[in-house]
Amino acid sequence: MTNVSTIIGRLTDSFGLNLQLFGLTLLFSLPLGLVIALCAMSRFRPLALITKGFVWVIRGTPLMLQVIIIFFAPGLLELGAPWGSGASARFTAATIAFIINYACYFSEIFRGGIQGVPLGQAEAGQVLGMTRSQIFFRVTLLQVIKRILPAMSNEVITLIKDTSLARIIAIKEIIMMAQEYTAQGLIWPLFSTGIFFLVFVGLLTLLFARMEKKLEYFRV
Amino acid sequence: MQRKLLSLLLAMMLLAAPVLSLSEDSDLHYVQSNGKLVIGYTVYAPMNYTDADGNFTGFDTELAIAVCEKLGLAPEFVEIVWETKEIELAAKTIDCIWNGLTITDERKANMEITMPYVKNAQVVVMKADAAYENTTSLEGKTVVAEAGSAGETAVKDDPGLQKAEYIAKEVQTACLMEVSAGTADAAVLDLTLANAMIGEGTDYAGLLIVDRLAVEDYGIAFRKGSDLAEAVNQALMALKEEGLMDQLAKEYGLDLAF
Repeated sequence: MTNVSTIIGRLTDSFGLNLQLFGLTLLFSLPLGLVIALCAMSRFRPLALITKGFVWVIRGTPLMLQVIIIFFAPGLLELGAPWGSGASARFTAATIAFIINYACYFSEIFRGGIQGVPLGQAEAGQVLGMTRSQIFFRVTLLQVIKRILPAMSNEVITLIKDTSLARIIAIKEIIMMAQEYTAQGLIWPLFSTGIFFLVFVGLLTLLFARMEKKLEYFRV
Repeated sequence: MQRKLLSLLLAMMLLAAPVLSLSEDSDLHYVQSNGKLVIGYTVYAPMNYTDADGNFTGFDTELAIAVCEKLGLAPEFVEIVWETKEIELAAKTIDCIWNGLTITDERKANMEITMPYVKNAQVVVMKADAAYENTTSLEGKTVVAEAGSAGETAVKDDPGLQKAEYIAKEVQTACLMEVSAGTADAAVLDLTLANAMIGEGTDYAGLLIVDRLAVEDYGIAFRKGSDLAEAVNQALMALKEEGLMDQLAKEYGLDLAF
């Protein structure tokens, strides 16, 4: 009926969707997370409070539910179809939900990293006549990157596995594809999906180990 | 602030759902202005599936394409998750659920469902020469069905079959093997599957369907109050007259409901 190479081919294709969702989420949630972190630390109290409330809501509700709400709410509220139609609409909605969710988690890691840089450094910058943004970009930022790398690697590894949550709105990622075979009574495809994730996380782990090593000269 | 917005959003969603279903706009006009009918399905042979050559086919697939042609709409098939099919419909991410949907009273209360177009049932299969009058004929005999299947439920719900010795098998097809080998007297399984697997030209040519239990009808579901259901009913009747429905039913081994 169906041969092994066809099944592995289809699983590999669908893992491409997991990887796309992973890549797009990282690309947009990292800068957005930094913006959210800066807003949460803002000296303008209302902005800081609203941002913290937002982070609380996003971190306090399941990602799966957020994906469902972002995809279905516009239609249920009769706001038209902002995501378009067909498979790409689902993917767009899921990507946006993932970006917002991960940006909030990243923002807390960034905040911890930024506040962990000794105050003396900023004071030294002030003495040298640097502006606040100069101090942030030229003194603080790179040290923040080194400090947050281990925490980031955790989140990034979680992200690739979370991408399979997108199947809740019928995005045919690898696990949903494998379940098509489970329904036919063929169960090995489902278990084999673990190998795809394992290999990818292995690569990520090596990459992060390398990055940490590169930033090692940054001992403070 | 943000919290208030969110609770407002959630409240609106709860309120919007029933309002939507009472919407007076014609659903037919809505899909006509889109020029397409978005059809929600899950992969489920013989209704909607991809064959060995990679073509998307199946009874419901071919029938939906034919109905859309009658209505002057382009069919757009969208794979959905079965558990959220009602939300998909209400959110207009799909226009209908067309996937061997069993008509139930609950579903009729919440959705606009067409007339039954395909019949399914749990059937009793025995050797062609076996004596059978009704389910009480099987008292004390051995009956097999798949564990956890609708067939098993039918066995447990039937007063006659309750008195038979019941053996649960891991798959429906193994039940036929038992009857064929004489290790069981009767098997209870899906009509669709039985049609496809027994009778002339199959490995189980000596088996017959002797009874039908738990008959159920399949229908196509639209948003509550939608005038599309009636339009699709008309198209189905026209296709029945043209002979296409019978041709498809034969090809996929299904029983039509009309």
